[in-house]
Amino acid sequence: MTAATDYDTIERRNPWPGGSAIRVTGEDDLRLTVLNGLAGVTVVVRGRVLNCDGELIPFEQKLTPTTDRLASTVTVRLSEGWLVQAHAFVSAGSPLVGQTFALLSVIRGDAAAAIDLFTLAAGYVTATQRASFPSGGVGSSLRFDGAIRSITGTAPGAGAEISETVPAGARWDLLAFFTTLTTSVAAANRVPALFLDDGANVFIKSSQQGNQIASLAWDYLWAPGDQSQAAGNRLIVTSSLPVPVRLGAGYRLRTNTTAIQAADQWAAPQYVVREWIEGS
Amino acid sequence: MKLECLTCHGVYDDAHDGVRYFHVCPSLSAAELAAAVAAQRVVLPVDPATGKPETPDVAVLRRSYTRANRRDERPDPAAAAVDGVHPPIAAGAGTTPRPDLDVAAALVTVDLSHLPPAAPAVP
Repeated sequence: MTAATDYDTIERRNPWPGGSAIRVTGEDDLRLTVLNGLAGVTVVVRGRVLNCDGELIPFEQKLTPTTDRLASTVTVRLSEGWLVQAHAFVSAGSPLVGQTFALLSVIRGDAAAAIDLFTLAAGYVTATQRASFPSGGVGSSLRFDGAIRSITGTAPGAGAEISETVPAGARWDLLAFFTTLTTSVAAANRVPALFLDDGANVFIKSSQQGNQIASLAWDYLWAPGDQSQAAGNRLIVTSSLPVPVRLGAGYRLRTNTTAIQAADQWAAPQYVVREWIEGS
Repeated sequence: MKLECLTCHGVYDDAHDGVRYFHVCPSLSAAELAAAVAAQRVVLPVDPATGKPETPDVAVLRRSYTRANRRDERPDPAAAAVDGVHPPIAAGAGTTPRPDLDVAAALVTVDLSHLPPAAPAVP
């Protein structure tokens, strides 16, 4: 059998079981796009092309994505033939499902001018969970379980309020928010509240029930579904939030303390969220 | 790395759980706004309910007072990326390392292997 005959055969019919292979011309390439929030992650794409001589040619390309949840890309040059298999997975780093989202697509053109022709696979990737073609499918980054993160926020300066901002490219479910207010000797009845806003407009205000006077250190907890309780003598105050509390990029969680004094000090908040890559 | 923001003096760890933390300066608190009013940096409007200037406690409920030169470390997608990394929205006054400050709770290991076993409780 000659090479020409092989080529004609390949041209006439899909050569892979189930007809799942994708015909690629010499102008088509494979692009790996990764949106990632974790440091130290490397994503690798591997696969095989059945070329016009009937040979299976493996390929591999690695990508170290940025950690700002914006898109990082790498292009795999494909020879003419049939793209029969491709998958992406994490080869370095330990992201959770919800932290590193990979998308495989066939493109045509170079660099920024390239156009996506077809999406092969999309999903969160880890060392063991892969975005694969042809068996993996294409899923939204918001469809899967998010990553559970425990975040230590900023300890504000004296007399300042806590303010935490959902980072670009992320979506959060707030599960708990804990912090401590240490009051100065200045006499006043401080009443903390947790405000949730969209970056400007407040849509939830959850005020605590107790007055914290001078020279005290009280713990404060806000959690969805929790029951509001005054401090009494327990030095811990709880307050409720709706279920769920879903926050988009740019939304803020911030305290607002009635009668806060210049030397009052909020501790760094510790809060737990479920996080997704927004994919915007 | 623990950093202090030189605009708002907040202290934070920029990646304590392996995920990059993007610090954004908070809006002014009532105490900070009161200091700004006393220093004549801002004038609060008249409160229609009282006919007098708003108090800082009321003013911060009605609007956000953003500090000049605030720091916002979130990536600016509109700015050109350098080596694939977008610059921050606003650098503010910058940061300084603060390794002397603990932001998150530290883990302390204690060796109890040489202690005698506890005596059983006597009813």
